[in-house]
Amino acid sequence: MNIVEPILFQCRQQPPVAAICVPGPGVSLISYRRLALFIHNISARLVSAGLRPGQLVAVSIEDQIFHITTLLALARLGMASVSVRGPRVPVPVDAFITDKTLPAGLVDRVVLANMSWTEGDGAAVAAAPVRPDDLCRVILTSGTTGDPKGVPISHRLLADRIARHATVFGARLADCRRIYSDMPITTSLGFQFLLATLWRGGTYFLPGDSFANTLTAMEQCQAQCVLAPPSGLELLLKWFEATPAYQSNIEVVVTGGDLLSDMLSRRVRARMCSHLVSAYGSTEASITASAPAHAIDRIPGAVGYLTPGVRAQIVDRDGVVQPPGREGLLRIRSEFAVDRYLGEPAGSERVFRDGWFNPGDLATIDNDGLLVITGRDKNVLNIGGDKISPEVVEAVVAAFPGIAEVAVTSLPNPAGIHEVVAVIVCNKEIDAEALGRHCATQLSLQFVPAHFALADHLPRNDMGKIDRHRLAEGLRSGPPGGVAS
Amino acid sequence: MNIVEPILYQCKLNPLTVAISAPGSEVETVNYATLEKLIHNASQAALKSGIAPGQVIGVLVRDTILHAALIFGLMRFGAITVSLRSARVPDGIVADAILTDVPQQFTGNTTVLGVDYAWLAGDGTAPDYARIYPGNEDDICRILLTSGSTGDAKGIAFSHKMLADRIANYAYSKGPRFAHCPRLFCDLGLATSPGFRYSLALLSRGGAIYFLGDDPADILQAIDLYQIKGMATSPYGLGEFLKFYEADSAFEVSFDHIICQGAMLSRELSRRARVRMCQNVYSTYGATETTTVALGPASMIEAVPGAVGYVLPGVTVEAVDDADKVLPLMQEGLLRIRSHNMVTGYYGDSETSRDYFRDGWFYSGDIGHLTPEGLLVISGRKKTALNIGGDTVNPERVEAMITSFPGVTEAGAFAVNNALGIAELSALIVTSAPVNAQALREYCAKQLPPSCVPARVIVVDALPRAGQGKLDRPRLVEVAKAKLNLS
Repeated sequence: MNIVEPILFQCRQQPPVAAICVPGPGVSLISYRRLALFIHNISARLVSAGLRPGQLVAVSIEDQIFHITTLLALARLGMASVSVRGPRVPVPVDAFITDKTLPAGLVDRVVLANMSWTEGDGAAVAAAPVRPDDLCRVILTSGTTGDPKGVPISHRLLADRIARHATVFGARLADCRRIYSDMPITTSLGFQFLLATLWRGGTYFLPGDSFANTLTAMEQCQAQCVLAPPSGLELLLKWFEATPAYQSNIEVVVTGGDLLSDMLSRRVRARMCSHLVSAYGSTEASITASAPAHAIDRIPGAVGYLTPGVRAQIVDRDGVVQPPGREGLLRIRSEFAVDRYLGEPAGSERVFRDGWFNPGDLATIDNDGLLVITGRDKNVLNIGGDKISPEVVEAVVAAFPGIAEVAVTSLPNPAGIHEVVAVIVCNKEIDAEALGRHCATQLSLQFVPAHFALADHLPRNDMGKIDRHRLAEGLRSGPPGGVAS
Repeated sequence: MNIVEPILYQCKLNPLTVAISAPGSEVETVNYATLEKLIHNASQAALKSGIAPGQVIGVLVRDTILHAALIFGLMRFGAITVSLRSARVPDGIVADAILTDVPQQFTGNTTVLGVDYAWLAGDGTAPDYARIYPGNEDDICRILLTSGSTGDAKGIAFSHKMLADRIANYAYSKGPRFAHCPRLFCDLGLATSPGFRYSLALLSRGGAIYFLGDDPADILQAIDLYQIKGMATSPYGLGEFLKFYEADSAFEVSFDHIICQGAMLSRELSRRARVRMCQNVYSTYGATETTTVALGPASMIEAVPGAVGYVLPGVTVEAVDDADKVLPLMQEGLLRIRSHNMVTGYYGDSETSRDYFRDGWFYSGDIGHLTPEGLLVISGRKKTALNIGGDTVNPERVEAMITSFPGVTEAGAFAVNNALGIAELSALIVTSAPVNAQALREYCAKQLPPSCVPARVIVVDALPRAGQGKLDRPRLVEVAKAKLNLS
């Protein structure tokens, strides 16, 4: 079945209900009635632009609702989409739909789109049925190497992933019909939540043009669920903390995309919503583990219980399976995982091996199926032969009062010796010496950051993960400024 | 994925949430923590008694919670369960053992094990499922019995994957309100095909499902006390509840939605239920063989007699003639259904399967048509068609017309021979207000051919009903005779 069919069914069942809301100027709110009109009108334009079923089309459209309805129209016509931000498309595509003028010659087949595409008589365009394994969506994942790779997702896989939302995110989410998402639709989870919400006839909110407009809309429409990566959650939380008079209506917060620090978890539950669900997953394998934060906050690094339909193992470097509780490399096998990247780029054989997906995380799994992430294998800092996960150093620095965010990497000093460097975002003035002393009480000396670089924010990818590649690039291009210890 | 895994996952995440409740029963309510223990204990006890993965186990247990623990426990380690509604295993199904709380009712050679809560006493630890049953999602795990208006239940086998696919559809196929419903009262028992699937859907998402207990009156209190939001029922069940609510105007109702399935929802019942019980009534039409085929808010479909809902995504319905030629929209014919997760035959009954399944289609035996908007309208059943002086009359079509007359809540049409030996159409009706029989006949005559106008209309207190509230057609004549002899 085409994944857009249930959405069109909802359009007929409850035309006046709000479908998508992006507070601010432009198209800020569409009902299910208009959603169907948009999908059909855009479909007509896609067909007359000569696009055909089976093609992969890149989409770079600024207006969120226009962008989303274009993706749905493409899927309905049996075309696959990949959302991109700029003119660079890291996977081979048949066409490029954009609302911006692009430099000539950059992309072969450009189709210029504008809001007039959404206008028309709303008549449904005939669409041939899709096969379950037909490609529907490509999600770009940067991994940690900085090379974007395309994850191909079929109609069937998307439907299967959506179907398990009700199970993996717990009972509270199933009750929510109005969902605010701070995860862009370029991400796997953001796109899945969009579809899952529309399948069930709910309302999907995206960040608006301004924070104030977004909050007003959330309040007026009584958004019940917030979906955000930890970094987005932090931004929202800051506003909550700065506005103690505000009483929240949020019933459940779902976070994923990056590890949730214990401190952030506690602050969110104290101020925004006591029901916080943590999810650990990847674009490649979908949700691998999840749990309410209150059930796992006593165990540092715990991300949740292995979800139904997922097999996970901890292995050593030779692939030998480790007993419960022993640390090693995580590998995942699941009916919800893909088994390759689009075009099978170099290096993918390390990620997909013998039917297993290897995310490159160090972890333990206990007898109860609790997954604890202890570090990322690819990110091990090697300081004169001594190895440590940056997450360990980050956890120590983050515990110091006044530190809002921290990312740690290593850089060679003038002598060519790697030193630990921490980029910090502060919410008050920091005594650098005290911070250094604090670290020294908990870390071996070689792992205490040699420099603390002050920043306004950390470089992150769409999923809110710290982009260590860009972090290191940024530090190399200029000497670490700010406080030095 | 094993179909029980999502339920056990919820047990881990929401141990203290109510899982299953049958108000008024001996064990009334279990939360997820207790359900988890019961499931594991049921697995252990079944394994100890010699039941093995792949075996077919009949279950006839009146206690809903015990019943649930047994079937989930059995399916978790790979046994195939079939919930029975009487002490008889339908033809074509060979059970390796029967688990029941009424062992004395069974005769024959099959191993019958008497079960009660003591039978599955244990410490609640999980058996080593991975070792006992490595499992394959394409393995059969459940045989669901069709309701069958004639009483001949047929078995339909489901794998873990097929059940998961069916439940996935519930995101939209039961309406947007059900998709967000945390607490549902299921008037259809766990042993029925829809009752089982509603249980899977609710328990897989951490919701609470309520069933009728020993004393049905207790559910009325529970609905208010526990703020049960949704109700899944048959038109017959809905009528029973409506009677209560209409009789006691002091009772407040807080339903968010009602889903009505299994038989045609009459306009009268739909309107009165919406006035007194809940504005959001949904009609669904489907078959265990296919999936939910159509859904519609009653407010949208009640204007069209016989309409059951809009055809759902992933489902194709066609009206065909006797030569299987597809008829145009609006033209009445035999309905055939195809869906991406339908079955292809009945379990252990290839002969009957050939009657109903052909060329990838399921021939439901219903007669009806489709509108250009995708609305499915049912006008009768091929096999229930009556011969009235040579004219074939679909009683359902007549009944839909009669129940659209003010004051008529239910109708059952049948044929009896008159003094001249000619079959005449008659109808039993249940009324909520005095009905003038002549006016009713004139009303029908305006819209139906003469053969479809009942010669005689008999008012009764209730229509004879079979399983799941379906009209028991063979008994209509008998009830009519009894009524006429009395008066």
